Amino acid sequence: MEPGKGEITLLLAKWKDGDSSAFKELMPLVYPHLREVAAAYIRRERNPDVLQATALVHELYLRLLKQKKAEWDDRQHFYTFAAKLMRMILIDHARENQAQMRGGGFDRVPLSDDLMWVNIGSPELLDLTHALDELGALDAYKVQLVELRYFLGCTAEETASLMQVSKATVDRDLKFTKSWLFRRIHPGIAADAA
Amino acid sequence: MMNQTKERFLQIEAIFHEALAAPAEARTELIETRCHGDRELAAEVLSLLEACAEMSPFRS
Repeated sequence: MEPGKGEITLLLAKWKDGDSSAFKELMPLVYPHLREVAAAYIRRERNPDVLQATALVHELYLRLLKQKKAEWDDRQHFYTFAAKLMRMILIDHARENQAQMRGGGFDRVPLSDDLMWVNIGSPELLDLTHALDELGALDAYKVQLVELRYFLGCTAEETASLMQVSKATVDRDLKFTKSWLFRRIHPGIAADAA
Repeated sequence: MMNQTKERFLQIEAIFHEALAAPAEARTELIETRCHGDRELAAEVLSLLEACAEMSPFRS
């Protein structure tokens, strides 16, 4: 059954207005397309072009806009939505990968050049998503930053523009967030010394 | 690191940034002063600063 033409737009508008159940309804409508986008992105693993994912999601955005003269023209909401979906897709991919490979033999391709310790399809990606869920309870804004910057592949400038903060703020917040996430996943010696 | 509260999280973040902005040799003292004898808090900040330093060689 094809979703009605205006359905996605309508649900995005509801989600924007704070209806969190709209996200659940939206997912199955947009997921297949984004999954194709991500599959192409993942196939590029040997030479991952992070900007490619952004470009393709941008294309999806334009298509949705064309579908119906959108009442929502809120880039921020669309992109945070797409970034969340991209995270889900990459997590599903990592789960499938782990199930098939039992933890070994994947190409070590980082999620982002700025996050070299998390590889696409790797167990660290699953650890990262658990840590992000914990972070979400403390600071949802930082999770959005990570999703936009690392899962969707936005530049720091694009992330700043979408979140309506300065690039310096994004850099500063991500510096702390990356350290926090790294420590969450690798507790290390100092954390136990107290 | 277990179940941080929001308040604790904000505290850690603020001291982390202050420490990063300070010269390296002044960091330990700054952290001690800002943590008011809360050793767990100081250890947490130090461990995050270590994590930050550990990651930096890989940054492009």
